[in-house]
Amino acid sequence: MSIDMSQFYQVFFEEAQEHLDSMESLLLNLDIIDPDGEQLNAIFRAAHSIKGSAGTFGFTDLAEVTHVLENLLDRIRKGELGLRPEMIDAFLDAGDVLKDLLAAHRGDGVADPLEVAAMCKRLSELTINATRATVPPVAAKTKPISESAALLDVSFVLDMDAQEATTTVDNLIAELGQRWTTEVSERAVGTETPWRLSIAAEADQEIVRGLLEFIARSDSIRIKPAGAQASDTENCDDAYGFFDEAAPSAASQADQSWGLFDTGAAAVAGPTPATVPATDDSWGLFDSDTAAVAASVQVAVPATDDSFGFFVDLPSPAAEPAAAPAPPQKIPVSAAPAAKTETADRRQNPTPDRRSAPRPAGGGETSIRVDVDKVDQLINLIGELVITQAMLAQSASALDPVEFERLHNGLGQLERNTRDMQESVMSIRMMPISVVFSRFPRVVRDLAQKLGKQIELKTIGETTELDKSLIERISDPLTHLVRNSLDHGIEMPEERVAKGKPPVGTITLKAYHQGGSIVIEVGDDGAGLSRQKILAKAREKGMPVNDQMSDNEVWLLIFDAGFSTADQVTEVSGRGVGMDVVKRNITGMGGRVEIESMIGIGTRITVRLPLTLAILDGMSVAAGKETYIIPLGYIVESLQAEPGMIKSVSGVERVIQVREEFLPVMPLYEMFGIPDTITQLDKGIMVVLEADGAKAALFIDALVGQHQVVIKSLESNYRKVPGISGATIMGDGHVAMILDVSALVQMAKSSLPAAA
Amino acid sequence: MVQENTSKDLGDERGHAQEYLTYTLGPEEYALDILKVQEIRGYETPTTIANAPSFLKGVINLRGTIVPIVDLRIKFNVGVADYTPFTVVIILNIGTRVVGIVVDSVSDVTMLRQDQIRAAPEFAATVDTKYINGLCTLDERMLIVVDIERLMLSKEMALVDATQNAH
Repeated sequence: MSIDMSQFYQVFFEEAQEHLDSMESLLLNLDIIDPDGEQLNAIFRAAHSIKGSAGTFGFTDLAEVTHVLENLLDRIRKGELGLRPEMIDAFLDAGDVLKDLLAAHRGDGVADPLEVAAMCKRLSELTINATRATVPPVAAKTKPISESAALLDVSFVLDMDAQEATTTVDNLIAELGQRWTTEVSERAVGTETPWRLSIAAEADQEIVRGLLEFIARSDSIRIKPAGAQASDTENCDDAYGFFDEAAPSAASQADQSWGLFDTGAAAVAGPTPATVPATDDSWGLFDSDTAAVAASVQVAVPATDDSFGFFVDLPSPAAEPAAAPAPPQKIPVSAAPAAKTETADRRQNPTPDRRSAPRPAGGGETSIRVDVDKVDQLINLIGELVITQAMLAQSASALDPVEFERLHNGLGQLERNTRDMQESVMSIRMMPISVVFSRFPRVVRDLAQKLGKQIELKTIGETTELDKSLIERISDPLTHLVRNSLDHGIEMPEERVAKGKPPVGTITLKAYHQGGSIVIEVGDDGAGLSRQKILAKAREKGMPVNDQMSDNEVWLLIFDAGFSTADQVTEVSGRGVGMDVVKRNITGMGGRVEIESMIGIGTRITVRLPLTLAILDGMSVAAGKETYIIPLGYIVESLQAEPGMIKSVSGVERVIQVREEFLPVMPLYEMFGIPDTITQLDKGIMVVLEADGAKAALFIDALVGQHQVVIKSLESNYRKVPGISGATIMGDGHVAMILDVSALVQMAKSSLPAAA
Repeated sequence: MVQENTSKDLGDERGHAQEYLTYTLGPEEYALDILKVQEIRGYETPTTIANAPSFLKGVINLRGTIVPIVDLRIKFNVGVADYTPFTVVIILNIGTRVVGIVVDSVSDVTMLRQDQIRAAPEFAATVDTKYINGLCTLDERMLIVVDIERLMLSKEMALVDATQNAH
C-alpha cells in the first residue's frame, strides 16, 4: 500500500514545530532541583510525539535525535536520573538542532549531519554517564539477569525491502558498534527471516531497541540475555512492542491518542486498582514477572499508544475538563506554547495551548486548520458586506420611517447581524500574544547567561489577543526591545547590589487592551535612560537638540538611526541598528512607541498597536469635494484657528500657535493640489496631528464624521502614493483615501526646517 | 499568464482566429485582445489621487476592489476628454491587476487571424510602436493591434511601482 505521505508533511511540520515550542517553554520553566513530574511528562510526550511522527514520515534524522532525547527524558521523569543544569542546556540545544532539521526538511536551509550526530552523541553520553554515576533501583533489578550472560541476544525482522535492507542494517550495526561490541550472529536471507545480533551485555536495551525500531518490525524485536529463559521477557516484549508500534501509526493523530490515553487511564484505573500499586512503572514491569498484568492492560486499554504511562499513573497534565478524573492542569499559561491555530474560535477556546494539550477521546476535533488565505478572503467578503449594509442603510434613511417601518426594522437587524458576523470573523484571525511572548524566556535565558546577568522574566496578560498578521510583525521589534532592556537596561548583579537593588533584574512583558488598541509594555528595573548621555551623544552625532527638550523627546532620540549610548558595542546590541528599525516597524503597523524612564528605577517602553490591520478607526474630513480619512490614533485635537493664532515665517510658510506650541501648518489642498477648497486659514479646520513625536496642524475644510473603515490596498492595482496609506470604500460606495499621517508630518518637517 | 499562452497558441494556427475588442481614440481605431477585458462599463467620477499624472483620473470602487482609471485620450492627447453618459471604461485584467481605461468609444468585437496582422512599420502613431503588435486592414478600416498588457505595465503609464515593474 502506498500513500503519498508528502501531502501530510505540512501538518507534520506544524505539529512538530508546536511540540518543539512547547518543549522549549516547558524546559525553561522546569525547576532543576525539584522538577515537576507533570512538566517532565509533558516534555517527554512532546519529544515522543515528534519521534513518532518523524518516524512515520521517514524523517529518520529527526526521529534519531528525538529518540535519544526521549530516552534521556524518560529516565529523568522516572527518577532514574537526577536532572542537572547541563541536561537542560543539552535539551535546549537538541531542540535547536531539531528546529534546524525541520527547517531543512521544509526546504529552508540545510541541515548539518555532523551537528545531528554530535547532538545524538552528547545526549546519549548524558544518558550513559548518568547511568553509571547513579545506579537506579530498576537497573539493579535488571542486573542479575543481564550479568549472568556475557552477551545479549537480539533478533528482529526487517520492515523494508531487501534492497534497502543491507545498507540500512550495516549502518545500524556500525552505529551499535560505536557503543558496544556488536556481532552479527545470523544474517537474514529474505525479508521474513530474522536477523540475530549479539551485543555486549552492558548495552542499554532501550537504546538498542530504539535503534532497531527504525528498521525492524517492532513486534519482532526480541532482546534477551544469550541462553536465558526468554518467557518473561517475551511477554513483556509484547506489551512493550505494543506501545512502540502504536506510537508511529497513531502519530499523525498524536493529540487524540494522547487524549485517549488520559481517559483510558482513568477508565481502567477503576477496574484494576489493585495491580497498579504492585507495579512501580512499566519499565519495571518489563523486568518483573507481572506479565499477566501487562496482558490484561493491553486488553483493557486497547487504544492507548503508551501503555506504560498507565502504570506510572500519570497525573495527565493539561487535562481538559472532560477528562474529569485527571487532576487539573497545573502548567502555567506562560509556559503554554500557545499553539492554537488561527482558526480556533476564541470564545470557545480560552486556553491558548489547546492544540498541544491532550484532548479527551470523546471530545473529537475542536479546532481545524484552515489556510490563512481562506480566512482573509472571508474577512474581505465581510468587509464588502459591511459596506453594502452601510449603503443600504444610507439609502433607506431617506425613506419615511413610518411608511417603511418593516424595511427599517429589517435593515436594523441586518446591521446587528453584520456587525456580529464581522466581529466573529475578525476573531478568527485573533491569536493570543503568548505566541510571541513564549519565545522570550529562551531569549532572556540565553542572553542573561552570555552577559553574566541575572534576569527574571515576568509576562502579564499573555492571553490578550491581536491580529495574526500583527503577531507576525510585532515579534521582531519586541525581541529587539527585550534584548535592549537586557543589555542596556539591567545592570550587572554586583552593580545592582551596590545600588541596593536585588541582584536579579526583572524584565516585565505586559499586554492589555486599551480602547481600540492593544498595548504591549516592555519594562525593566534597570539603570534607566540617562538624559545627559543621550543629549551628549545626539550632539556628537550632530542632531538638532537642546537642553529645553522634554524628557519624552529626549527618550525618543534613541529610536533615531545610528544612535546607541552603550559604552561598548556588544554582540547583543550597541550598533545602533535595531531601535530605529523597531520604530519603523511599529509605525508601519500603525502603532506608536512611548518611553518612560527614570534614572536608577528603570525604563518602560510602551508599544501601542491597532487591534487589526484590516479595520481602522478614522475621522473623515472634507477638502473641496473630496473626502479623506485620518486615522484616529494620530489626531490630538481639532480646532478652528483664530486669525491671531496664525503666524507667518519667511513670508510664505505658516505656523499656528496652539497654546504654548508653534505648529507647522500643512494645508491639505496645497499638498494634494485639491481644487475649490477653503484657502483662508482661519475659515477652515485645523487638525492637530502627532506622529513620530512631532506635531503638525493639517488644514482642511471640515470634519465629516468618525467611522470604522475597512482598509483597502492601493498597491494591489495601483502603486504607492506619497502621503496616502491606503483607501477605503465609504457608505455611499465612493472611494476615500486614508492619509499617511507620519509621511505627511515628515513632509511638513522637511518643508519647514526653520519651524521644526 | 495562462491566458496569454492560450491566445498565442490559438493565434499560431493560421486558420484559428482570435477575438479582439476594437475601440477608437480620436481618428484611430485600435484593437486589443478580448481575453484581457473583464468588462465594459459606463464612466463614473473616480476619486482623485493626489499628485497623480493628469491622465490618471483616480480610482473607483468596482465591487469592493479599488481600480485605477486611466484616460487614454488624455494620455495620448487625442479626442475630447469630456465625460458624458456615453463615455465608456474598459476594465482590463493585466496579470493580477485590474485597471480601467477610458476611450472615445468601443466599436465591436472582431475575429482576426494571426496572418491578417502585419508587422507595424516605424510610424508616428499616437501609441508608441513598441506597444503595437501589428496592423490589420479590415473592410477599408485600419486597426492598430495594441499589446495592452505591455502598455499598461510600462513605465510611462506609471501604474506600477518601479520595483514591481520587473515582472
